Amino acid sequence: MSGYELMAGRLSRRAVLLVGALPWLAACSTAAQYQDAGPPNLHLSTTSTGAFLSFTVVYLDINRVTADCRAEHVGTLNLWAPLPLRPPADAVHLPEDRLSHLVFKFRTHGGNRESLTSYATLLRPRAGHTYQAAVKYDAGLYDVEIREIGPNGTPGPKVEHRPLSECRRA
Amino acid sequence: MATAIARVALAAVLVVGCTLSDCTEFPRSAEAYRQQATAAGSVETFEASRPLRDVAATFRDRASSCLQDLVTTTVSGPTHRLMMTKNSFHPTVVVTDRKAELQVQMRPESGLQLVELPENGFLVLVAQASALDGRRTRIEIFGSSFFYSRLYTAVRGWAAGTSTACPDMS
Repeated sequence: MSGYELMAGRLSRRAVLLVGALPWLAACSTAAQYQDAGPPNLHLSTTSTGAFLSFTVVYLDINRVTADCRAEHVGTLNLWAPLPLRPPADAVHLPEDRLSHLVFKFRTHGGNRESLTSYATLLRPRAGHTYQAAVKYDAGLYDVEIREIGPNGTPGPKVEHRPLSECRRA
Repeated sequence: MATAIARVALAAVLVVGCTLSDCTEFPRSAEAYRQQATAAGSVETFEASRPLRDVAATFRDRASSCLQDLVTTTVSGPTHRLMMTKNSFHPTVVVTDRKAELQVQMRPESGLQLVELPENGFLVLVAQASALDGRRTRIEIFGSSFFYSRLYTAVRGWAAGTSTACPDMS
C-alpha cells in the first residue's frame, strides 16, 4: 500500500468520525447551564422534526430582567437535540413574581449550512401557579405555547406573548 | 487562472450591481409591491370562513409574536469560504373597517449596502384580507411562495385560522 493510499484512508476515517460526531458537537453548548434549585414551576415539552439530512436543536436562554428593562443572561437549557450528551430539560424553576425573559432558540444544521432563529417572550410566574410550555419545530415552522396551570391543577389561559419592549407594562 | 477568477468576480459584481440598482427597482410601498407581484403572477387568493375581525386579530398577534424584532443568522458554504447572512424583520398591520393588511419587510444587516433600502427593509410579502360578509373573508397573498415559502405557509395558516405556527425565516 502506498503512502498516498494510507493518507487517503486516514483522511476518510477522520471525515467519517467528524460527520458521526456532528450531532453531539451541535448539541454541545459553551453557554452556562441554567441552575435554580427551586421547585419546578415551568414544565417544558419539546419536539423537533428534521428534514432530509438536517436537524434542529432547540434550547432556551433564560434572562433576568433588570429594573431598567435590560435582559441579563442567567443560563441556558438544552430542550432538544438528536443525540444529547445529557437528558434534555423538561422542568425548571423561574423566580416567582419577577419578570423572566425567555428566548427559545432553534438552530438548524444541515449540509454545509447552519441557521438560527428565535422566539422571545416575557413571563412573570405567579406564586402557586405552574406553567406548561409546548415547543414544537417542524418543517421550517415553529410554535411556542405557554399555558398557566392553577394551584389546584386546573388549566388556565394561554400566556400572551410579551416582547421585552413591553417590560414596563408586563 | 488568476485572470479567469478576476474576470468572473468582475462579471458577478456587474450583474449584482445591475440587478440591485439600475435594472430592478424595489417597490417602496405596499401598493407598488402588490402591483409588481400581480404583474409577476405571484398572488394567491382564497376565501377564509371567518370574520375579518378574527383575521385582523390573528395578523396582529402573530406578526408581533413571530416577526417583531426578529433577527436571523445563517452561516453557509464550505469551511474555507464561509458566508454569514444576518437579516432583521419588520411586520406592519394596518386595519380598517373593511380591510386588514399585513406587510412584512426584511432588512439585510450586512455592512455592504448596494442600494438604498427603505428604513425597515424591502417588502417580502403583503397579505390583504377584505370582508365578504360577516362570516367570510377574502384573502390575497402577494409575494413569492418560492423564495419565502415558510412565511407564505405560515401567513396562509394565520389567515385561514388553521395554524398559528411561526415561520423559520433563517
